[in-house]
Amino acid sequence: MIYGFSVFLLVCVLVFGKYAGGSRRWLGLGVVSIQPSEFVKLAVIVMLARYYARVANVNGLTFYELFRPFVVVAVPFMLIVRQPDLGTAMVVLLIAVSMTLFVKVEKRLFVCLGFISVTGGPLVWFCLKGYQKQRILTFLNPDLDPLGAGYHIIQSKIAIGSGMFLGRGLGRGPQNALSFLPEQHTDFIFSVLAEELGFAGSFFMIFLFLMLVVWGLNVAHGCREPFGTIVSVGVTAMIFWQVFINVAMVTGLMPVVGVPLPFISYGGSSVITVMMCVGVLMNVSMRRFLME
Amino acid sequence: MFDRPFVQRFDWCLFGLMFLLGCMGLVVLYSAVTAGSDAPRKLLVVRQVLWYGAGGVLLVFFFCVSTSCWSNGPM
Repeated sequence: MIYGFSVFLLVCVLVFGKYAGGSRRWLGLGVVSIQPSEFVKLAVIVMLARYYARVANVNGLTFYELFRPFVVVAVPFMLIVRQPDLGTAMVVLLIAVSMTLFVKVEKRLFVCLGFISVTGGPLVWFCLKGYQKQRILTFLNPDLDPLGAGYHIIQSKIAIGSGMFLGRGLGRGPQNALSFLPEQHTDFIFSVLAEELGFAGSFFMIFLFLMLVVWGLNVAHGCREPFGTIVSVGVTAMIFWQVFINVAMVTGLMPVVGVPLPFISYGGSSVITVMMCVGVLMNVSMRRFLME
Repeated sequence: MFDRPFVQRFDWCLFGLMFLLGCMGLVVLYSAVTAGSDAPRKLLVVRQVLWYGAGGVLLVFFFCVSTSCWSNGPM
């Protein structure tokens, strides 16, 4: 039901969605806007966990067993790419790949899919839109267009570097206060944190996320039913990939894509999704103590 | 039935990590939207707190619904 509703909302976005910043990602609901692509993450996790819990076996999944998961991921993936929101689409794909590899695929199939991904990957370039190609070129050489496409990442790196060890103090970071940082309250909030709380604050935040990921895997390990284990791995993968992509993006280790930092970035849909996911994780964790 | 009381089976570690990250997020967000601005957008912080409230309600819902409800169904 969650999955069907999420896909329905994605279709609504393409038809009635608000057009902002060159893409159509939000649905206006009176005074608030929601981003349905965020809810899709949890929907895909639950759908895949439900299927994998039934078919997973020690020999690994076969090509035919992967067909249904492929459809489940491909439908929302294509709808999100159409918005276009490559970052969220990539997170959905990475969650699905992480869960699939966790339940194991046949060795021959794994090699085959790996080969196709490596050889077919470069062809994705020809499917990208102009601004997406520009972001990759800027990632490779930020000085290519310092006042245009490279501006975001250059300002972000200046902010992170200027924080030094203990930071400049809350509200005292010039990159933030003088509005040099773009999207400082959403995707680039890590740069504000690094500028104002320095390496110590950034390290503490990343340490908390690391603890969350380790604890999520611990919950998965302790669960006695396959569904709970796989859903926990999916939720943990979601948090891990979002943090990894966001931090790598603002530090210039990856091209700029619109992925929020869980719990930290401003955004209702992101906050609600990640809290629902934590609710699921707490649920699985508590059920370890159910009597047989 | 559970073999221990709620206080013992509740995952306080997970809750604590989420609480710490949420507080850190609100503090940094407040700084991001107010620092050096002639027209601070404090409303965004209030909205984020409200989103946390809504998220909290959904968290309780997903925490309470049995996982067996989701593990059975189409697919």
